[in-house]
Amino acid sequence: MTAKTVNSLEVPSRPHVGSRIWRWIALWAILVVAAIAMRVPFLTAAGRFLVVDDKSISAPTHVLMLDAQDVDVVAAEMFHARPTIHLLAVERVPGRAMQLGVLPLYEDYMRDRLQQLGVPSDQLVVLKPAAVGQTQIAQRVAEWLRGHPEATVLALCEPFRGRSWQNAFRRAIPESERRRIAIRAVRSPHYDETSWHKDKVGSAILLKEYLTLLYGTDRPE
Amino acid sequence: MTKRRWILAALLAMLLIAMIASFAFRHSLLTAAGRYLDVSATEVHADVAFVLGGGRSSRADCAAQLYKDDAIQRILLPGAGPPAEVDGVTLLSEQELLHGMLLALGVPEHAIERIPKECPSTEAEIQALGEYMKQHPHWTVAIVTNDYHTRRCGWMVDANLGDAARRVQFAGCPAGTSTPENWWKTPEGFLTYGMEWIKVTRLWLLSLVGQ
Repeated sequence: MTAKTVNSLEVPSRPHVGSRIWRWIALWAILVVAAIAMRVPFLTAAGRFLVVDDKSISAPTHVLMLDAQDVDVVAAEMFHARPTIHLLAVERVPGRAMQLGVLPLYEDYMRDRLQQLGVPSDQLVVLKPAAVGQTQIAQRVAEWLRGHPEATVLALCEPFRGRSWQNAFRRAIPESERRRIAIRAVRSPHYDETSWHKDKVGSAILLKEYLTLLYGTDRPE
Repeated sequence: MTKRRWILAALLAMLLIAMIASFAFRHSLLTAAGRYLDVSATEVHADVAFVLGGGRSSRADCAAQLYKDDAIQRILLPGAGPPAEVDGVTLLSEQELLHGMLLALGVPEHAIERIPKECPSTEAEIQALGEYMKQHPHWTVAIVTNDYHTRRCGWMVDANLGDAARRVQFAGCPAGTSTPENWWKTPEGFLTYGMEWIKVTRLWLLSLVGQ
């Protein structure tokens, strides 16, 4: 009995330094293997986090064209499906190519493009003055919403830019009016939440969007 | 205090000192990070300016200015890729866009030469330049691109052009109002330099594993 008590009070010997190192290596190896095994769900979650698909407005009075590729085509399709819809665009501050007359101004381009797609010119409302960056564009939309209390807007954007557009609208539009605007992603034929890491453009947009969120403010155009 | 705790305390103290020092010298560190990316020449003089595509209009301004200053004799444009989106408008390929802008900036048509081969990436543009330089073995080239892009571009030149890389220099154009001294102060600068650092790191890691 006495001998047993003495034994139980003995300080346990500390594990050998070598075995501790091996434990750390094993732990890191498990983490690395887990990360590799779970990479697809992680990458998909990283993409999905940025996508905003708000279904709260089913029959909008206006469709706002933001920045997705083929956003004009999708907006025109919506107009043809329901011809009472008006299309909205925010005039952009002209870049150097526009200043030099090499490219048409954004409004002229949009009107021509929509006419080619069968949308009459008077269906397009262009919000002015010209804006640059998400914050200014969101401010133009906020001003327009204030002046059109009956309007509901469906904003179409590039899938991974949904989160930053949502943040821009949250900053610019008062909460009471925010339910009159919904964001919907225009799907790209080249990538989506599950495949962006295999596409150069998709990867670049996703990284830029995370940097934008990290910076915490506006994404420049 | 055991030896292990001493080591842990020392490591934590070092980490804290490093964090305080980084914060105290953040301006210098961030400026150094921005300057690292820029390896452009202070004075450019070459036979040809090769303007890289990318939809950033300052490159056309920069090349036109070099031509007007007699720093170059002609301007070479990379092959036409798919139409580029500029300020929400998609109409022209990069080559057509640069060509139109150079003409609008007063560069005569005879001074502009176009590479016929399609160049969908910077690396493809450099490879096309390599072929052009083989046809003109004594010409020197000034690659016109944004200043923050010159480091990574320089690595691609070294990897693809071999000895001809010695005939290449870089004309760095400013990226809007962002410079190595202020890039972290604006969202545009943060995004531009942040993305470039991600690309530089990726290329460096790929070179480490031999790809």
